[in-house]
Amino acid sequence: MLFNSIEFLFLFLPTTVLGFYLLQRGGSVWAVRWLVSASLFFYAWWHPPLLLLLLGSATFNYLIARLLEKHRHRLVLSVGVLANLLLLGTYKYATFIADNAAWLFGADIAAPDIVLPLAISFFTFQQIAYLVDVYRNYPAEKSAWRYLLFVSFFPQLIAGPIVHHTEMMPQFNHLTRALDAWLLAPAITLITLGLAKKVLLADTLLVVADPGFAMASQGLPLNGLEAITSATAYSLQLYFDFSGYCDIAMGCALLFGIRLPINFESPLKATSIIDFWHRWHITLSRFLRDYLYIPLGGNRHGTPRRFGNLLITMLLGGLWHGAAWNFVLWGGLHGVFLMLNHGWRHVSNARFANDPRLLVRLPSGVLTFVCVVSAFVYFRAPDVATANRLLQSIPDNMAWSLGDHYKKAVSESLNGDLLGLLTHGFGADLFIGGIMAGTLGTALLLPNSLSIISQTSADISTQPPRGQRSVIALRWRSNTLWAILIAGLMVAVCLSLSQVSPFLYFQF
Amino acid sequence: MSGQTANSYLKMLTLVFLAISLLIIAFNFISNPFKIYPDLNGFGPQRNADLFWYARLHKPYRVASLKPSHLIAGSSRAARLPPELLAGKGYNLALPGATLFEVRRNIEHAHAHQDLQQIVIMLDFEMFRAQSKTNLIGDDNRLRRIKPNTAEQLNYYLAMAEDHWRSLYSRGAIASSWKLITNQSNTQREFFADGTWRSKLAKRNMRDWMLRSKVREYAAYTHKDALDYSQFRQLLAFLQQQRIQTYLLIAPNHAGILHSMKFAGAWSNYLQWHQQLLAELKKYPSNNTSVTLFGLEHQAAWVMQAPKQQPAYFRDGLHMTPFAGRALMRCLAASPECEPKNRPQRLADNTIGQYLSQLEQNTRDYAVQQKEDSKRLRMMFNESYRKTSTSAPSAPK
Repeated sequence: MLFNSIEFLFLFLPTTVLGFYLLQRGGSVWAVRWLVSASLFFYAWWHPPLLLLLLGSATFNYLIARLLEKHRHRLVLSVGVLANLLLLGTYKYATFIADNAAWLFGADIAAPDIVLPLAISFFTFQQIAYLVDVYRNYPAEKSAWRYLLFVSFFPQLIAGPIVHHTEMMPQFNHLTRALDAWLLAPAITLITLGLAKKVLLADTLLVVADPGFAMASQGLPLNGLEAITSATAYSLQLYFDFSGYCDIAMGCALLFGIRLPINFESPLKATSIIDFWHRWHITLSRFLRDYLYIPLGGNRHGTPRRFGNLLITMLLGGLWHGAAWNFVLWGGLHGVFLMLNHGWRHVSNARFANDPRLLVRLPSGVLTFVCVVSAFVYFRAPDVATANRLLQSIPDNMAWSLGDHYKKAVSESLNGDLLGLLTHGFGADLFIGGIMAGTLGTALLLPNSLSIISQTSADISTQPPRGQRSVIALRWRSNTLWAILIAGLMVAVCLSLSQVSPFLYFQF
Repeated sequence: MSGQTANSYLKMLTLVFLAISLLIIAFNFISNPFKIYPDLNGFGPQRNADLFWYARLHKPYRVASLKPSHLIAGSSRAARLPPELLAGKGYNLALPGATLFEVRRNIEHAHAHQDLQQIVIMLDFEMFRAQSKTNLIGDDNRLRRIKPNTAEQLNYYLAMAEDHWRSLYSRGAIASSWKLITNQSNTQREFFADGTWRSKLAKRNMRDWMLRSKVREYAAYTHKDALDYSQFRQLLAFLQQQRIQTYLLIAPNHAGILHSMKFAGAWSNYLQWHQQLLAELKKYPSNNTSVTLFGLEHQAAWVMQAPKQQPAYFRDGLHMTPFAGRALMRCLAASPECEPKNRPQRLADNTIGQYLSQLEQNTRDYAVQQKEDSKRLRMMFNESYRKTSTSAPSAPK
């Protein structure tokens, strides 16, 4: 079930919220059981047989954790972690390994036909972290229901954030509260903002981004401006898609009085790659740092080893996103960028790291943006050759206008849509320019939705957002003007629900 | 933020959301861009909506409200057959690019709403191509079944709910309503309440278009393809089972098209298709059969009409003109106004041989009589082969 589908928004979510507040009068136990049942239903909606996989994985890890608590032995932990990695490897990487083995040895190895279970990367990582922490003396959860809720809680199940048991388990112990308007108001506002980012911005950017990648993939000539437009539009699409998803996830959790960790905090405003990874998929960065980079040795064994650890971590981080070489390359590029960034900080004694002057922030921001957008080309392209072709066309075939083929592809995608009237009225050039400028402005000049909403008395996440200053100040208030604005956005979102597209991070 | 201000905020938000939503729903209901709701007697835009692209959404709802007992079905080539000449309440259910699966399911949908008495199905060679789609292009769930199981019935209601959502409360519906009201549809066709439609493009453009692309595509490539009769068998089984009187009419082609099939080496495939249609029909016991097959390409007046002769039977060599559609329907409906030159031939064991020889003769005569057209066709083919192949031989002299 997708967050941006009619069945989720108008049937599943209201029923689950209503059931939760009715049942929690009977105590926290019933509230937890209800949320677990709803979450399992939510997961099963996509492909019911895979529910067994989720339940099997949760049961196994629950039992291993209980065992670890009694016998804190390295062997038990190793068995637990390896079993999780084996599960992930089988479902996510078996085809990739078979294909590459076939290519390497020239043998005829048939790739297994395996359906990638939704969310497997997320719940596997969460549980590995849990096992490692139990081994490190964190008390194992006694209640199977609460553990199952930690693994399957639907707002964060499919595409994160990768929650940590220390921030979730205490909340699950106190799930009884009345249905408060002061909690409902920011939750609904956050969900609406998230949906607007997804269906109004990301899905429109998809139309602008796709023709360039399609042309590069088919080997059609592409000019430099088209390549830049496609690459930037895709980066913005992914940005609003993931940002929108995180907002909806946090808003949905808030409906039950549960706070999720911040996962996304204006990454395109980053002024360095180090800063970018403190803002993009924050909970994944945290996992990779705590359970991979630091155990590998972190920065404790000198610069060469530190850079090696960094590169390994980012390569595996890339592979986590998808079983394909372009994801590995994307991770590797970020690894190199991070090494250069750390190297520069070392050489310059971190003089410019937190310099607030625009003269410093602007060029470093632009450089970071260019690096991030270029790397995302590998993330989006179906293969490395397509990505190379697209990037190569920027210096080789620079032009200052979009070609007719590109503009026609954009216009045709919007045929029959309200936005099609705009392209018809203003022309494709102006439409594409407007969309790009508007979305880039929104990402760079406006505060993010957490900063807009977190000024209220209700805490909406496990930790407060940075509250960084933006060019345009915007602060949500529970007044009439905001009610009209959010209601208008809600209508715009609902009008777009008949053209449902999945969230990009669902595939990881 | 206090609980009270949050309460007022939520109330205001709900109120504004409902108010705007209701306005949009009312706007789309009144404009009715896909014509799935009844017209409000002069209220709302009275212009013809361009339903060509939405025919798969519009027609099932039109059938459900009209409940016709007589139907015309097929692809766009059946779109000019007027249903009012049938013996009862009729409707033209032609769909652009219809597959045989779609034809069967749409007939079933109509039959589930009202017992059908008579159907005219225009068979198009394209429908039988193995590589052409056999699945429904639109949403199959919106079409009613005669004996649905629980899941099918549930899917039917869900599909209807989705259709109403899309027609009343979507960006596409607002765009279509707006175009309809401001007359921006830029439509190339005129769509009528009886399900028929016709082109508004100038005839000269049509002829050029036909000679430059359609002939080439149809004759040189598609008619050579392998055919699949499985969907046709299912359609026949359904029609026999429901005992609906059915006229299967082979969609006529202009000799220019038939001639180009010969150029492309597809002629034997085309003739074999006729034989196979009859063979499939013969699988049913003769005392139980209510399905008959007709052809029209033996009529020289139709297939050999000179390019500029009026009134024209063909718009582009494949699609008939409204004049031709009316003339043909008069004969199918056994009207006294039927002219012999428009009368289709019933195809059976004893008639098919003669029919196919006449068809062969017409095509040969056309090549002799229309030397200019043959010359142009030959040039076009050579040009086509040059563009598409480096090794293909030039067209025969």
